[in-house]
Parts: sequence; C-alpha cells; structure tokens
Amino acid sequence: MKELISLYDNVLIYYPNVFFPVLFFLGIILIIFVIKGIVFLSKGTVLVIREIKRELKNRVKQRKKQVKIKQKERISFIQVIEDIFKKNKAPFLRNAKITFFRICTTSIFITSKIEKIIKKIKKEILIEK
Amino acid sequence: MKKINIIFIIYYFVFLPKAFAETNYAFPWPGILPDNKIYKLKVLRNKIVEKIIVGPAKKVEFDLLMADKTIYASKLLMEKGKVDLSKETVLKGENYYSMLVQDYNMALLSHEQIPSWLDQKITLAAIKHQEVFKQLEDKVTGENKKTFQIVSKFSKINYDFIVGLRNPKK
Repeated sequence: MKELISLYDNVLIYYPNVFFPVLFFLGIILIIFVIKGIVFLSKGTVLVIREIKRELKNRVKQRKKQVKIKQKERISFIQVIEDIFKKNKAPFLRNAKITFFRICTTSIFITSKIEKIIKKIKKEILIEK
Repeated sequence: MKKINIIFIIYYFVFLPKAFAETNYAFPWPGILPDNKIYKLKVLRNKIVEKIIVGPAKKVEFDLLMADKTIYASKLLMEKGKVDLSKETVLKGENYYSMLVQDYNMALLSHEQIPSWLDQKITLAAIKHQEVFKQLEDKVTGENKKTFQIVSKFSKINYDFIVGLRNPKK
C-alpha cells in the first residue's frame, strides 16, 4: 500500500502532464460505464415493473373468476334446495293432511268407544240399584 | 545525519561568502515561464497537484521542486530583461521554500522520516538559491535590489528554521 502511494505521489509530482490526461480519460470511461449501467438498469426495471403489473392483473382476474364461481355455486345450491322444496312440498302437505285426518278419526273412534263403555257401566250400576 | 548538517553549515557560513565557484546543484527546467499566456493553467495544475499529494515527505519534495523551478524561472526572466516579473517570480519561489519548511515540520510531527538524500538536497538548494539571489541582485540597480535582498534574508531564515527542526533543542 505504501509503495502504491509512493508511486502515485511520484507520478503526480514528476509527470503531472501524463497523470491528468490519464485521469481525464479514465473519468470519461467511468462516466460512460455509469450511463450505460443506468440505462441498463432502467430498462431492466421497466421490464420488471411490466411483469409485476401483468402478474397482478392475472391474479386479479383469477380471483374475480374464483369469486364468480363461488357465487354461482352458492346460487346453484340455493336453487337446488328450492327445487327440492318445491318437489317435496305437495307430497309433504298431502301426508300432513292424511295424518291429521287419521288422528282426528282415531280420536273420534276412541271417544265413541269410551262413551259406549261409560253407558254400559251406568246401566250395570242402575240395574244393581 | 548531524555530521552531514554540521559540514553543510560550515560550508554555508565559511565558504559561501568567499565562493567564486558555483554550487554543484542543477535546477530542473521550469517549462512554461510566467510571461506565457497559458502560465495560469500551469499554476492551477500545480495547485491541484499540491492538494492531492498524499505522503508528507513527498509534499516536501514537491515544494522543493517548485521552489527550484520558480527561482530558475526568475533567473531566465531576468536574462530576457523582464525585471518586474522576475522580482514577482523570485518572491513566489521563496514562498515555496517557506511552504517546504512548514511541510517539513508537519512531516516530522507525523513521525514521517525524511530521506537523507532529500535533506541534503534541501540544504544544497538553499545554498544555490542564495547564489542565484546574489547574481540577480548584482544584475539590477537602485530600488530593484531591495526585493532580492529581502528574498535572500527570507531564504536564510527558512534554512535556519529547517536546521532547527532537524536538531531540536532538548
């Protein structure tokens, strides 16, 4: 390191007319490289940003599709239930009517039977008296 | 190190006033002189270099190089007949030597070792500068001599300071 510094100082002191032009050209080369690097990076970043935007759009589309599918599924499920209900509504009501009538008739039959039994018992009690 | 300094000090105080032979020290070529239109660009370049040098010892080396170049440029300007510009340049040259002294001090404070060849060069340079100031003083007349006399005094003060830094009193 010391030797490098010594060399640098010697060139600077004894050959300044060589040092400065070399430094100038190196500076120009460095500036050219920096500009090229900036241009390259800017192009790269533009491409990356485009890709990111495209991917985001695709994901949003896919998400929307999924949401629609789910909505359709929900709708179809509700429709299925409604269909089932419609289909089974009439037989269900019919069966309910039939069971109701049967309950009524059995209760009437039972009450009539009970009344007959009570009449019989009353008659037997009167006869004993 | 101390022996070398003593030898040089003796040379400086004993032999220099009577010296007829010039010091064996070669100035570096200054390049573009201050009378050139694009000299300011060169000054700007040197200021940038001064700011971005890393090593403290290298800063000292740079200041010495700039002092030598500027003082030699002042001599060349005098030969061209540009006295005012020569006076201005010689002051700037000695200013570089003053900056050298400061950077020398900073280098010692940061425990940086100054190479012995650089120490010798700093001493020889001071002597050579004194010779050049004397030559330039002899070439001018009247009030123009004052600048070179002042610069010569500053040069001696700076050199004494460096000797003091090298041999600190405990």
